[in-house]
Amino acid sequence: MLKKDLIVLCLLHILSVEDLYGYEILRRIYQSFPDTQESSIYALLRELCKQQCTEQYAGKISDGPTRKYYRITKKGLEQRDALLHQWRRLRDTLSALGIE
Amino acid sequence: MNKQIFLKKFSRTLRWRLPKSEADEILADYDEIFSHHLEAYDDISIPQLGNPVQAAKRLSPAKVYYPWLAVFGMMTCCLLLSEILLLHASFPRYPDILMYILLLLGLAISIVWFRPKHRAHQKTPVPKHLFYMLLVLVVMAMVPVAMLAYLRMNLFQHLPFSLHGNIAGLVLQLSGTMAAALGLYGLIKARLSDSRWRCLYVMGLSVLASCVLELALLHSMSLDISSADWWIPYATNLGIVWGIGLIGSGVSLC
Repeated sequence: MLKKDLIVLCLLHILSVEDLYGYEILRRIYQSFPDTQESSIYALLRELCKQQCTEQYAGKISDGPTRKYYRITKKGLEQRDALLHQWRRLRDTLSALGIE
Repeated sequence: MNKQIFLKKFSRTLRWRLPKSEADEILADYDEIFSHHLEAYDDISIPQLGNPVQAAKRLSPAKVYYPWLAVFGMMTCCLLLSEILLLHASFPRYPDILMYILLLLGLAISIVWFRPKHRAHQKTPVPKHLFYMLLVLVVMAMVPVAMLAYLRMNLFQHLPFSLHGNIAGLVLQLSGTMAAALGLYGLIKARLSDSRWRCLYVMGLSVLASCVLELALLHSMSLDISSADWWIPYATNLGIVWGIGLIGSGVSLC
């Protein structure tokens, strides 16, 4: 499992919790992966949209400006579950080898 | 690197590598991202976003970029082959057929590739610089016609005989090369800013084609000057090239 897959998993996970606008997604992921550039995270987010794992809509909170929000789709949820399964298997394999 | 420099480099690379609509969408997203960082990013560096060129490359997959490179290569080849013929001044047996093929190929690719996906750009006026450059090309398009007229009326007679061909060739090569350069500029601008710049490419290719045909005529050594009508087939060729160029340019502007 590559770091890219881990970031995709994180993207799908945070979007499965709540809908978020672009900058907020980048900020949260960047906090967890500070050595990854925001442009790379944005590229992954865009790729997820193209694969129809996420979709965009224009929305706003109270009096704030209209922003482009992202939400996860059914396909995205399936993708997240598949990645999560991979991640757990990898973690168990490493644990079995004594790598903590 | 501040925001302006980042966005300039980023947008230039992105527009080159992606179709306009997709590039616009990404730039709008980046504008939104920047609006959240605005105060901080105006003066300080922006390491989070990385190198703008690399960032743009990451966003343009090969399957989108390579077809454009192939189209750009083919369209440039149409200009380049004609330019090589012009500068080398060595022509195939039927230069008119080759020039028609190159002209129609360039025209067809430009019309198909840059066809508007939506009509939003029609609301914006045609770029002013495009008009000026088209005007320059129209003036240059007169050069082969003027040369033909000079030959027809024997107006070179007052010059030393050895200079006739050299002057005519040099003028045609110069105007053809300028037309090729403007055509290439139009092609690049069509990708980077507005697809209507493709009409500069079409017009440039037409002028270049007419210069090649004219120079081929001068090199053919088959002028039957004794006949008063020798010039008619050549003028017809020029007329056809011009017609294709004008119709193509008109379509490209729509």
